[in-house]
Amino acid sequence: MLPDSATDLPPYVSIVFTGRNDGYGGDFVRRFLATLQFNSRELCARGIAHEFVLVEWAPVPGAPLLADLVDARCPSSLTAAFRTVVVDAAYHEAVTLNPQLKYQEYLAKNVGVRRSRGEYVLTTNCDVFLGHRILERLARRDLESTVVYRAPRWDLRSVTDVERIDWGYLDDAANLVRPRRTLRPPLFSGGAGDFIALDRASFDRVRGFNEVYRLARLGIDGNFVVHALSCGLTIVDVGGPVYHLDHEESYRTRRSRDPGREGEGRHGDGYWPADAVVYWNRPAWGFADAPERLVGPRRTYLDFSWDAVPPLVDLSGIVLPSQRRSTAADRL
Amino acid sequence: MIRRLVRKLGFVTLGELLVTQEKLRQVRQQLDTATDRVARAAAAREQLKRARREEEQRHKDKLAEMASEHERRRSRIREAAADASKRIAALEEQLRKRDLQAEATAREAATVDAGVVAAVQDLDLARQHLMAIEVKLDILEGAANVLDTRVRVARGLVADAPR
Repeated sequence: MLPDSATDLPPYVSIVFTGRNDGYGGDFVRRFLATLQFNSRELCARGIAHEFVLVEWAPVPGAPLLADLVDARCPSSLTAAFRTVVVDAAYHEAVTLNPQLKYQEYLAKNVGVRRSRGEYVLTTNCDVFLGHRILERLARRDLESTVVYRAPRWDLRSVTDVERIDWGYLDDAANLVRPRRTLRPPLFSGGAGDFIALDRASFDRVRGFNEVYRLARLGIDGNFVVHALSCGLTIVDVGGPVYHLDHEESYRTRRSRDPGREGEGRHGDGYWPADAVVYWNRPAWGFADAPERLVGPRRTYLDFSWDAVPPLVDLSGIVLPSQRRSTAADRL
Repeated sequence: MIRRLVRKLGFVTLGELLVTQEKLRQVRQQLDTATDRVARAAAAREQLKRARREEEQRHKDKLAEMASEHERRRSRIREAAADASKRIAALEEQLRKRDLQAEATAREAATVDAGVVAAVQDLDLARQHLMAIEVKLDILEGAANVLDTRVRVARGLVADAPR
């Protein structure tokens, strides 16, 4: 049964993630396609109306787009529910505040969130398998609005034949590379970038992930949870984990090998006070003003325009958790 | 017949006289006995009366003594009650003063608590401000570095441009 996203009906959930074909963490494409096909299969098997929204941020010139690889290698049941937004590379240079940071993961996710169609938006990553509990809840459609759903991330041992990973592999604790983690209230933080689910209207009201602080990828996910809490949303554990394929260059791998140096390099400074400040993005968050061009079925290209670029510095966008703007409070 | 003649003459026979004397003697004896009994009874009654009077007197004395003792005890109890009342009054006064002291101490403690809570809140707010300033400085530093790079690149382009 094809999900509703194959028709004009809005899907129940938009699954937003971001990536590009740059060999991140080893064989990125294999991990991406394996997890994508697994998740698609499980969502379709349960009749969950969904769409995938992939944001390809500043793609590598000359390398095939991930969207092209999906079209070439995945079944039509998957591609029918798969949309891509490609973001011109000039945006990365225009918005950066840290040349060390090679990828603006959360600005990219905001692009996808802003353009999603589902009643609920689930942001995750390109190497994550959705767990039983999450799929059960999506099938039952029992998510509630104004609630941020979180899930613990369990790291799977890296394997060569990722395409053969099934429930037997996922459910076997021996295949975990680190102890199972649980999330603790009130923030349920820890690996938030791998699973955040929220109704689209609330995502819009809180204006997505932090676009003001662009010096790091690390901590932006946890900062979103603090921001959501300060905006009056509830944070809950969805009740089950997501499974992440461990790989080189992941933050946790780097942290275990070079403690204290995990903040260097692609993730930016991991020690900024992400739990002590919140933010307020401008109304045109998610590059809302970017000129859009349809470049294929279910494929949009964001052309570069300075009009869409957020200001280099917007200090008024950094606020204290206890001092949310009255306009923001009124909206919620 | 002689007996009838003697009786008509007002005389009695010797037998009758003896009998009568015997009877008289018996009667006198009985009378003596009775008299003696009466006297004894009277004496006993007197004795009993005396005993009763003495008993009454003893009771009266006893009662008087008991009344006196009772009075003494009442007096002692009144004195003790008066003492106790004075002590109770003194203790109540002490208690009242302690209550006032305790209230004053509690008010002081509440003021200190409120001060501590306010100080903790101020500290938390100050920490948030500090963190916000740190983040803003990071942003400014990042922006300054980016602009510096762009200016250098632009100057390099200008310098390299053909004249």
